[in-house]
Order: sequence, then structure tokens, then C-alpha cells
Amino acid sequence: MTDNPKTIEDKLGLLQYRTDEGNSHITVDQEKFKADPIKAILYACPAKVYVEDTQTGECIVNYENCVECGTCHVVAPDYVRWFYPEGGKGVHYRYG
Amino acid sequence: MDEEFEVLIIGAGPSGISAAIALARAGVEVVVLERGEYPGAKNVYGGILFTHQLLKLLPDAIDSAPFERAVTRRRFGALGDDREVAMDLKVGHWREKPYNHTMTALRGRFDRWFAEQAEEEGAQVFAGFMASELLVENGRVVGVKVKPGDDEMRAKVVISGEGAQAFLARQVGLMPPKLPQRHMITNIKEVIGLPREKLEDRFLLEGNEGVAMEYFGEPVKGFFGMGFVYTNQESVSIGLGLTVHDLITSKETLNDFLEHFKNLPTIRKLIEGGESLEYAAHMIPEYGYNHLPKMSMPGLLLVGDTAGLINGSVYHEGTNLAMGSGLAAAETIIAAKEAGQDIGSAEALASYKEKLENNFVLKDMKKFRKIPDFFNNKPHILRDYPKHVTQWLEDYFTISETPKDEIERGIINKVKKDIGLFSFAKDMFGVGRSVR
Repeated sequence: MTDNPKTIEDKLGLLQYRTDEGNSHITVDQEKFKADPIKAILYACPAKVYVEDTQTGECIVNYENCVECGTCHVVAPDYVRWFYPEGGKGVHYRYG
Repeated sequence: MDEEFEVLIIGAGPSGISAAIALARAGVEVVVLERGEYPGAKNVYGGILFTHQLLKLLPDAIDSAPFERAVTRRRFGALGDDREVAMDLKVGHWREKPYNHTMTALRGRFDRWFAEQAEEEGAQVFAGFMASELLVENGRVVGVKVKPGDDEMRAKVVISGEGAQAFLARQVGLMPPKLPQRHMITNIKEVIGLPREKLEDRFLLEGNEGVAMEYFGEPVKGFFGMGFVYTNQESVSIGLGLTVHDLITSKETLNDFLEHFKNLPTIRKLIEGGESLEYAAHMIPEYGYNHLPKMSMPGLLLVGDTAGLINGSVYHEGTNLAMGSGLAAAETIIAAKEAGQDIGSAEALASYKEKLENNFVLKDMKKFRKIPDFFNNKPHILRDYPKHVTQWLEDYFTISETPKDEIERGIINKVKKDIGLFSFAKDMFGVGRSVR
């Protein structure tokens, strides 16, 4: 048996997705993100959807990794706009 | 679509499907919209299904529903550093039907089966369709916008069992636009596969027996929350949750907490050698009774998590409150229809909240109404007590040539130093008051 996943990235590999290619269900207001001294979405998102671009300081949104818990827009309601992916798209839990 | 249905239900979870079954059985026309590819594809919980409402609705479910195990043992532990103190309750006859109405189940299987029961009663369940917005005309909800596509679906009543995010309820102002960081709990869990025999040996289980273990203190590093381990047939569900407020404060990822929890000495051996099958995250709206949303408006009822129907306390009940609210919503509509009323009118829907107040759903939530605020205002209780209490007990049971009298005095001095005798008494009184 292979080693069990420990990191978020590896654990996401256990999941099935029906990705809505080219159609993100998340938008981030970049100026407000940059102005936020805490940027808690970077660690509060359990799927590491949000990554800070070290060059530009902007927030990269890997929406295809989203596990649809909704934590991000509770953490940062002022600059994360999160809504469900379209019907039938997104994460596809088998156990839940 | 110009057709108008009698009842449109948003979300094929426990609350929505309970309502759908009861309504369809009474001859009410019901349509359910589910955004997942199948019912259950988006649904996540800890792992315990409380079945008294389910069995009221479907008495045969005790034999036919895809449960995992019957919970005959419940363990509540406080973990501090490498110490554990636990209350462990095992009841032999809970292995007999109806199994204390406490079953483990996996939602991918259960919700799919449950929705099939609704279809058999005559409800139409459309999976893969999301209600993106409520349609409101003259102060009354008259339907929803559906995605994908630009269709509208109209109904005399919409029941929103949309779940914790409650977008639709917030859209029409039944609750504030922002979800509260101190009351929204993000949970993550892993399902870890273990061969049946190994699992039953490790957890001391026979046949279909299962165990629910919950841990305060160290798993969540003293924040308001808990870690859990529940046994399925051939897997364990292990996870934990924190309020968004605490998660922001912690500066760590929930996965860091989970890996820390999984590696604690008391937990590690339980899951050793298992194979991770799935990772999941979901939110629990633990507003408590004092902060519930408005439950209805003309043309709309809220059920389940959407309405914040969670009994946090020590019970961690949700599925039964969801089902109970779905049944109450159905009863409200059925009674209005029988009385010849407009089933979506304010008068028709007014009795819904009363029904919840008069059964276990809001009676239990009311009993524990002080808990969410109490622990939010006194974070030191869950932060400090597991660590200190386990330390005091360690000292008490440490065997050495130090005379026991001296050990006892040492412990009392530690209580004075760690908490203070007066503060200790006050905290205990406060905990007692919060559940009364």
C-alpha cells in the first residue's frame, strides 16, 4: 500500500470533480485582498484554493480544487464572492 | 416554464427529502431540486444519523436504509498533551432495534437511498440543477431561477433545505447578509478504510455495533470545537471542526489540526494502516436558539441547516432536527391544503414555527440556548480545563513514595495556581447554568 496522503494537496487527489472548465464560481477583489493584512483565506480554506502570487501580490484562485464548504466567504465576505458551481459541476463526494 | 407546482423543495438532504416524502404521500405535488449530480454528492456531515424522525416517516428504514453501524458505545474524551480522560458509555441493549436511534451512515449512500424513497412516494427529484435565486413578487416568494439554463420554476410554496450557506434565505432577508464567524463552524473529515475484522477488534465491536468518540481539548488545541472518530462498516470517519473566528485566530490550516489529531497517541493506533478514501469539508451553522433566522415568509419555509437547526451541546444532533423540521414544514402545508387555504400565504405558514417550538427541535435548542455564547465568551474553559484536569488526575494517580496527603495538597495548590478556587467554582456554576 502506498503512503496515505498527509498534505492538503495530496488529500485533494482522493476527490472526484466535475470541473466547470473556464467558468470559476469564485471571484476575489484583488485590491481589497492586497490591502488585507491577515489574508486568512490563504490558510482557512481547507482546499488551498487561494494562493498568493509572490510576484504580483495578487490572489490566485484555484477554483477547481474547491470542496464547497463556503468557509472563504465567511472569512472574507468583503472581498471573496463565492457561490455554488453550476448544477452538476464541482466536487463530487462519494462517501460524505 | 409557466407551470406552477404546489411545492418546490431546494436541496435533497435530510430536511428536504423528509418534507418531500410526507408531502407526496399526502397527495401534494412536490418537486425537489438538487445541485449535486445525484442526491448526496454535495452532502457532508460528521457521520451520525439520528433516526427517530426517519422511522416515524419510514418505519421499515430500520432494516432497509443503508446504515453503516448501530452506535452502542459513546465516548467523550478530554485530551491534554499526552493525557486522556474519558467518559465511556456502553449499553448492551442498544444493539437491539431501534438501536437508540443512533446510526452511523455515509451520506453518499444514505441520501441517494432517501431521495429514492421520495420518488417512490411520487415526488420528482431533479439532480444536477441548482436554485440560484428566489423569485419574489409583491413580498411573496413565487419560485426560483434554475441553473444551468435560464429557466424559472414557480411554486405556491418553496421549502429551502439548501444547507448551511443559506444563500436564498439571506437573499430575502430572513437572516443577516453575512454569516457569523463565531457561529459558523468549518469541519473537515477523512474517511479511512480498514478491514472489517481489524476495525471490530480495535474498537471492541461485535456484529453491527459501532462507536462514536468525541474529543475536546488537544485535537482542536483548546479552541471551541471537537475532534471525532465514528466507525462505519469498513472505515472510520475522523475529523474536527473550529469556528471561523477561531480558525482565523489560529493561523493554521484545519488539515494541520487533523494531522495533529490523527497522530495523538490515543488516536494513532485506531487508524494505523488504514487507507484514506476521501477528504471532505463542510460548515455547521451553530447559531443557537438565541440567534436563529426567521423561519418563514409568504411563499417560503426554511428547514434543516438553512434554518440553523443544530443542537450543539454534547449531543451534536443535526440530521434529526433537519428531518423533524422537514416533517413540520410538510404538516403545515398539508393542513393548509386540507383547510382550503392558499398554502403559501402568511396565515398558512404561520404555524410552522409553532410546530417546531412544540416539538423536540426547538425545545432542545432552547434548553441549550446559552451554550454557543457561553463558550464564545469564556474561551478559557475549553482551552485550559482539558489540559489542567488531565494533569490533576495524572498527579492523583501517579505512584511514588510521596505520601498521598502531600500529593492531594499539591493538586489543590495546582488548582489554585492554574485556575483559582473561586474561578473554578464560578466556571463550574457557569457550565451548569448554561444547560439549564
